[in-house]
Amino acid sequence: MSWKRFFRREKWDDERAQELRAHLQIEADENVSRGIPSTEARYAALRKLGNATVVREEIYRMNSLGFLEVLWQDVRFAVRQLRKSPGFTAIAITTLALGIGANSAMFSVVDVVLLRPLPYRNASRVVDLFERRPHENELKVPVAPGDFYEWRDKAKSFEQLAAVDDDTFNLTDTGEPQRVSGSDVSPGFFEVLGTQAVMGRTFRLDDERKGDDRVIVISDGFWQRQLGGDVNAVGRTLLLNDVPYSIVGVLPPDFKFPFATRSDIYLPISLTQKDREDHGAHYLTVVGLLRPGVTLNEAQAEMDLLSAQMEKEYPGVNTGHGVRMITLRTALTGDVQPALLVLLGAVGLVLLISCANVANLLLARGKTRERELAVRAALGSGRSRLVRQLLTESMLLGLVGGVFAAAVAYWTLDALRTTFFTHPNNFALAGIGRAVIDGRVFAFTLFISLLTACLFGLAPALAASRVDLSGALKEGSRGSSTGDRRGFRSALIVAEVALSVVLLAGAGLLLRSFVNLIRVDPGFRPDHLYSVNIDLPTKHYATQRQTNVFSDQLLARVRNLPGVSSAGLVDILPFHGDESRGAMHVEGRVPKPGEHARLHAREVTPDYLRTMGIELIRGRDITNADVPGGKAVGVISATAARTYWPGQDPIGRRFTFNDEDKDWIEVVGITADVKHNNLAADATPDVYLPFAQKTENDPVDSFELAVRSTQAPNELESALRSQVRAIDANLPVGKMQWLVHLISDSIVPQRFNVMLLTIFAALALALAAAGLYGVISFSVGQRTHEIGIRMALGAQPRDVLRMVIGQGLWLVLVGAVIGVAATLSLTHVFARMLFGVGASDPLTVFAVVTILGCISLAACYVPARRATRIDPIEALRYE
Amino acid sequence: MAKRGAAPLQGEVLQGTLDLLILQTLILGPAHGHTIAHVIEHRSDEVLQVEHGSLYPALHRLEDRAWIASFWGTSENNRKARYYRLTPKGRKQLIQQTGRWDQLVRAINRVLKPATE
Repeated sequence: MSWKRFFRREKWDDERAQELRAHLQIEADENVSRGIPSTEARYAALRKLGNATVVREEIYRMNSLGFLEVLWQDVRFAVRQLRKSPGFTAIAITTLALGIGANSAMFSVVDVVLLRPLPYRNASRVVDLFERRPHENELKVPVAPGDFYEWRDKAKSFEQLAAVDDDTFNLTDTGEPQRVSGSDVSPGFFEVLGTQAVMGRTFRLDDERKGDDRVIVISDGFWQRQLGGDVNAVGRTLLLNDVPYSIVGVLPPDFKFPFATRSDIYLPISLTQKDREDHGAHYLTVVGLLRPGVTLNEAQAEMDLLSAQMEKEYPGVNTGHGVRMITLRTALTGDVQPALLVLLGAVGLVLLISCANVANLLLARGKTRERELAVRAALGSGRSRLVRQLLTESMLLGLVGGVFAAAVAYWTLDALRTTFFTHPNNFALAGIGRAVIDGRVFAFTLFISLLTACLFGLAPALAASRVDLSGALKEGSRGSSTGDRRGFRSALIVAEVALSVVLLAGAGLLLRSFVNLIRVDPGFRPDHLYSVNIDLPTKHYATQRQTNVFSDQLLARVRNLPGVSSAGLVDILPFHGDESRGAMHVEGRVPKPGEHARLHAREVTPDYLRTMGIELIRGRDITNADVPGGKAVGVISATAARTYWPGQDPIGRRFTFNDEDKDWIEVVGITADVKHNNLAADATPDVYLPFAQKTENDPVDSFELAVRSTQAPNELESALRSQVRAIDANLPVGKMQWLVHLISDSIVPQRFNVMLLTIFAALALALAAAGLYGVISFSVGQRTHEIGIRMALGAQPRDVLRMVIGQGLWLVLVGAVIGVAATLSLTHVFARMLFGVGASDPLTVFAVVTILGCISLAACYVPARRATRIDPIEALRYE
Repeated sequence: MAKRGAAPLQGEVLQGTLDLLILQTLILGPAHGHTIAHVIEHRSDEVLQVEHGSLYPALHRLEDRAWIASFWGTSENNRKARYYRLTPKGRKQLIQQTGRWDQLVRAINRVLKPATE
């Protein structure tokens, strides 16, 4: 059978007819020539030929592909049927497009974060290594260089281990001075990820040697932006922090180091011998490439052994330290994975509700089409043929819904991208920005559309095909299969309500958590508070004395700017990502074995606390009297006071970061707690030290200028720039940031979760209400006769209203009970996403049930109202 | 569909036979359906009465297998008619099928003759 003939079989049939006609004529001609009269001759020819139509049909059938033929028929019939009821079709397609589209958009996000291979050649063998302090319940501590170098020398599970440290540079020789972000990496870094330079080379092991380390590898973006895509870039020299570095390689365009928001410059990490043996300062990110065939568990076992040895070898600093290894995938996406899966589950529930709704519509339609189906069955359509026809209609609905869903998904993802994915946060880390609607997502959409169609189409099709011929064909009969079907429709409504309750409760809990989160006092007043980052190149600012001269001048100038009420400097500002702390020793306090007292230290100038609005609870602030060489003092946070001086007055007590030399620092004040990076996190023990008293030969080389100002941000920013430039024309100034934005950026993932889940829940509620409305209206339509009789017998409109609404609310009640029960058993899934609210919060459950009740009441009231207007006489005559 | 299922062996044998006769007829040169039907009747001394209608599905099937090809032409008495001709593939088939047919006839005869003698 040729496909060509299949599609041209109408024309082919015409030809056959023509051929048969010719045959008849020739035969008749011959008969005539034999002397038979022409009419008789024609009949004889016809007799001889047999049934021409049967012949044509036989040939026609030979030209068709059985199932395709039927399918084509079914599709055309389905299109006609759907066009005949545009209202039904539009509602069904909209419902499906929303349900499927939301799923596709969510899938595109989950796909890129959890399913697709990471964009590094060695991704499957790359692990991320941390240190852990099980006794202090800390599982993600950055690695100390001493530990890193020891691991690199001794661990056999790895082909390569590499350390990374974030860095920023002042770039001074390509136009205006500017800040560039980069990473200091140990030479094996690119080998671990499997990345090769597109021009030049990456690093060699000997690049690590002091003196040979004035080489850099640059990102494609930097190469395009700063060097104009110069093909001779390799070999060029750049002045970074006033030191010349020569470019040895350019990275591929898509390369991005996973743990940095943006890294334009990579240079070999340069640590002094003393640094390399430091086991106390934890600041490195370490990645490792497992040897082929070595599993994560085997490597972990080796590292456990190694860290146990190191605990003995370096008692004190390494006591209580272990190694924690996670795959690169987990490291990148572990934080967002649970929430994404919850959302994917939620959007799946929305799709189920969509299915239930469309199934309900189809069932209602099945009722009105009962006669049509009965007629077809009576004319000889088999049950399987009827089911096939009805399923074709569902598939068509599913596919058209899927096409619109693709558009919905596209717009949804676009909206998500601009609202949530552009900020530096966990999402950026997980690579969520790469989410696109592409072939994979389309395939998923198609698959889910057809699956959905089967799901919502099969039951109604089976129900509708079970027609009772004699009953359905009788004029005016209301059919006999309704009872059973009404039960099924009610079950669908109960299921929809139950699913909606689960989603509403989830959204409610997240909403309450979110409100709790934004109500958290960060410990400072972010409104009117701005900051810019300044880096002082150590070449010109080698001592703290030089730095102090600069900072005094800067602050004096900035304080005189119009609109500025106060200004101060700090080395690490809240919500800037840094969590580093130092181990310390409290005078007169004997630590328990394995316990380390730690403080988050901040170097601040006298006005910093006032500028930030951090409340001074007791004692005094850092003042101008705290000069280099003066008494070392510190202002501690309330948590530090409570943790390390429990039940005592800390003021006047002493502690030290340097246990050997006993450089005591005296506590002179206590401040309120400040959230460093995460509103949801517990407060940490902090200490504020005088900026001016920083070690003379290890000055503060990177700090933030915090300014409280009523000036418009852009005017303030340019004013700050010009003040910095007036002191040192070669100093670039980083982009000014508003603290309010930094805080709101930090809760973008939570906002994403709460917003999506709320939208899903609202969608679910709307669908469930629409479904309920449909079922109740339909039931009122079916019971017109019965209601008419009741009213004729004296039922008041009030009674009818109560009866109809009661019927609907009964369904809602059953659904709500099941939904609440399901919610309570599912809440452990949410638990990790909640903040300041219990997973089975009664208030939320109460609110959800109330909202559901009100909406359901409204959905039932409209048809119930219609029922009360039934005119008994009209209703009874209707028979 | 029911047709296809009924007595397949018999149908196949008869169908195959008709195909063979058509191919044999066409070895003399192109002919239209009417001619083919009459040639078969005449040459079998009117024993094989072809129902003319059944010829056309067979022609269609043969053309599908590319054993014969068709074209529109004009008949002896100036009527437009569809002509069929043997393709090289059909010629090969005819030889093969004729051989098989002879085998079959001989075999059947060997079985039947002792009984009649």
